[in-house]
Amino acid sequence: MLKASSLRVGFALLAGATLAIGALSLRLLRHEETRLADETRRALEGRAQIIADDLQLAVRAAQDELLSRLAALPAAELPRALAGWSDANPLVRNTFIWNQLLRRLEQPNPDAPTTAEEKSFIQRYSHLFAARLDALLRAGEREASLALAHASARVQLLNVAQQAYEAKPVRRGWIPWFEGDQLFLLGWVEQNGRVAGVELETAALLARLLAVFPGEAGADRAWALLDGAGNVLHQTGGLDIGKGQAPAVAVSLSPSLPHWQVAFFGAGAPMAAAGSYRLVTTLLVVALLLTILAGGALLLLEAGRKAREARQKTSFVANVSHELKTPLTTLRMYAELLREGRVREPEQRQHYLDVMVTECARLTRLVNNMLDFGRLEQHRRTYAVEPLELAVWLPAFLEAQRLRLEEAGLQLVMQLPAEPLAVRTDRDALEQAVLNLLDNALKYAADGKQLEIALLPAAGGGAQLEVGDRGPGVPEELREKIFEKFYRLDQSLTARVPGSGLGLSIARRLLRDLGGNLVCLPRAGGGACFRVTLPAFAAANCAG
Amino acid sequence: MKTKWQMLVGLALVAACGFTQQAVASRTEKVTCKVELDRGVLPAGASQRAVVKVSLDAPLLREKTERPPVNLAIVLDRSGSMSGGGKLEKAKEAAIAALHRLTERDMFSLVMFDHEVETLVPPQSAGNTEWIESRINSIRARGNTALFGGVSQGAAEVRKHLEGRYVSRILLLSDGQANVGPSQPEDLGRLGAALMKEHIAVTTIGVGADYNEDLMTKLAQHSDGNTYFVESSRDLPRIFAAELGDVLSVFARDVKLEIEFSDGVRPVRIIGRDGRLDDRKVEVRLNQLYGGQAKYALVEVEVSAGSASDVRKLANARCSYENLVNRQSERAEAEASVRFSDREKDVIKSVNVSVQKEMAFNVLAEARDEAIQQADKGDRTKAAATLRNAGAKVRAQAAVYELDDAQLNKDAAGAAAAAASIEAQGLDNRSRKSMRTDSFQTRNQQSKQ
Repeated sequence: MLKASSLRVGFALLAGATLAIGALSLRLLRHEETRLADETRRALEGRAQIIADDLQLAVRAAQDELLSRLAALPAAELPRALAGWSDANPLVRNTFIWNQLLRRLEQPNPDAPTTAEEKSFIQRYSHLFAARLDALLRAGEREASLALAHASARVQLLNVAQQAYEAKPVRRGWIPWFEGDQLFLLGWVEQNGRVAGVELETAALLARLLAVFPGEAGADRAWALLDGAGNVLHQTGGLDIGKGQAPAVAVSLSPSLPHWQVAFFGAGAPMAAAGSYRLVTTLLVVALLLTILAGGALLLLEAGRKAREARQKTSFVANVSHELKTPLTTLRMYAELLREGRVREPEQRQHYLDVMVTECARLTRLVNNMLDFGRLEQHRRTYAVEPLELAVWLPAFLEAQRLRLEEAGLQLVMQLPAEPLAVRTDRDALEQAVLNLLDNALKYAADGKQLEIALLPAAGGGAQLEVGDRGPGVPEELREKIFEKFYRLDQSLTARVPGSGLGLSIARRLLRDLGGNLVCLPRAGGGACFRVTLPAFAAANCAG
Repeated sequence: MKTKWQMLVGLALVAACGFTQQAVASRTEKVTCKVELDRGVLPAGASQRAVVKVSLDAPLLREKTERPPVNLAIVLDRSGSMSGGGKLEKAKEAAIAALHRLTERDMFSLVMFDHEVETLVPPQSAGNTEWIESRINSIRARGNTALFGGVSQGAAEVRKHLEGRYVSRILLLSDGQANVGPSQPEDLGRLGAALMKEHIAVTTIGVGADYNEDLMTKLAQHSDGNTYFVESSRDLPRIFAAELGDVLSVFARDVKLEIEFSDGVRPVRIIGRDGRLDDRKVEVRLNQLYGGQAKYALVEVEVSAGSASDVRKLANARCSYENLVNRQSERAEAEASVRFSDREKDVIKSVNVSVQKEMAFNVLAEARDEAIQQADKGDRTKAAATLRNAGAKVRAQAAVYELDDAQLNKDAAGAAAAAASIEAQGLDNRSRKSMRTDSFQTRNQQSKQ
């Protein structure tokens, strides 16, 4: 009982420790995974920021160039100069002159636009020119500096360099304007009471920005430039970006291009790497856990087996000592009585001597069994195979035992075949095996009053010998276990019946060595039946 | 002694160079500018509407060596749909044929796009035919249509050799709707307008029934390129050849036409073209002039009442351009006057048949564009009426001025037929494409294919 529970406790501890290790490594794994994902994301964000900076710098460069040109136009012939400039510069879509004193548009003439483009320009900015331009011009620089505070270091650096370069600061700025979900950029320069302005050609700017965009991104990912409505303006990389697909990473292009974004698409990219990483590490963790469990279980089982053997051996020694002591006590007592000459009647002396001989025989059997056991264990038992007529041998052998059995109150019933039944086998080994079976019946089934021994030819040649008793019988689950060495049905030292736990084990091994077998079967009407099978011809030498 | 000898040789060389240059200059001709009125004589006594035609005629390039080198970028749609009907294969064939018409003085580049844009052939001398051909043959169809990006990339490749006297041209071939990047006709129009300022013209070739003709014509119109509607990919090589014929015969670029009107003459509108128009002046810009081909601008004007046998100066046209043959900035100028008369016979006798015809063609072209717009809005009856009215107007005009032109009669009849068809079953995809393209070709005096 104790043994099983300690095993269970051991297993529980092992499983607990393994589970703890497993849980810990899974947690570490998850942590590592998030760290990896974060790192990938940070790298992507860094890349996106660099692209965004490149784009912003390109926009700024274009814008600065336009404003410098605008500021350098001759004030005297401004309208003509503006028109000429607008016709020649691909980045200029429209130009305008705003009179700050009169608060009205001087060019183009809002009442008589000279081209279709001028007409749409006036329409597009009607609201701006009607109400908001002055406020925006006043706010322009402050807002620009505010926006700049949020810009990246590279963009700020450019601004510092530019301010240092400008000898005479001119009031100038850019106004982002949204019309019909589209972004328009208006640049302006103040020139004594007038504001000269330029509308940036967004299409041409965009066409130039595309050149700044990074090249190959891979087949399952994409870098994209998104406008304010989330439309893809340009992309590199093979991924087909679906409508409304959310980017994995997005960096704003404010202040140069408000609401525009540089975005990275591709669930496949960093996440797939994390996925395979997760798979591999989980497999490794599982393998580790299995190894720990299997190794631990093996060690525990081995320890359990060793402990059981140690216990069996202790109980064996105690049993054997007891077995040896009983006949010795009897022998000594009777021998002493005879030496002292106190027994006068010859029958009495004869009886004492008989008892002493019987006890000696019992001791001999016991010692023989133990010697055999030692030989069998070391595979040193040798067999002398010779022809044996069982129908002759069995009655003679049993006759020698009849007295012993009857003294124990067992009545021997014998069934013999009508025909002679000859086999080739080792007579001594067979005798010892059957003797052990008889001893077994004597020890455990003496209450059954009857011992039935039947010999009959076996189906495929050879012979079959059955020893049936009317004892308590053997529970089904123990019918194999009783053949293990040292095993006894009742194993405690204080058992009513002494025994070494070797008899059946030795009998089976002997018979198996001879090519036969010994099994325990239930017996109809109660008790146990041990069936011995013997081949017609035992193997020549079955040692080992 | 030695230095004297060297100086002598140097002097001789300088003299020789001066001489050859002079010889070339004298051999090259100039663009001629001509101002005409639809009628040389106007009825006296009341203010009149008249049409002024200013035509620019570039001389034919005579010798092969004279031709300015070409910087050609072919922008090829290789989206998945191009694989159908062998379109991509034909386009590749056509591109290779075009390559063979160029010489090693010319620049050639090829950009292809699906949802991504890729420069397949970076700009290089068109003499590297073997390598370029192998690159073109490697193109396979896939993906979506990033048209804006493709044209932008083509422009970037052309821009690498913008300096020098190259005739810059992008040849865009697509069969689909732009669905990656800016895709409104207006957006592409703006891109075209910006490219024109860099003297890059974009010629657009729409293949099949699925491309967006508005977008393709806008892009061509604003960059002053040509546009083609190709129903069957079998026609591609022919179209490429025609386009290349134009590109190889470019005589002048950066053409600016200013028409200044005299007192009492007020420009009302420019017929068929975009331009700048105010009280006294009309300004029209053209990207390139092809040798041996005339381009013109038609301006409707209102002439205040004049008295009989009065002769009045009408308009003064000035044209400035860059002659690509001798790399000179040149100018051409012309003037026109009008006479007033009481007699209707004089007026009819003075009719300028060619101006009347051009005007009639343009009236039909404008009607076609307007009808498309009306049909798009779902107003079939209005669209049909627009076409019918234009047809009737042209026929009436032809009757009054005895214009007997087979093409004009055909076009007028075509307008009536189109009107009937629109009224019956609406404007179908194919007719819309051919109407849009025809109209564009008329308004831009593109030589018809």
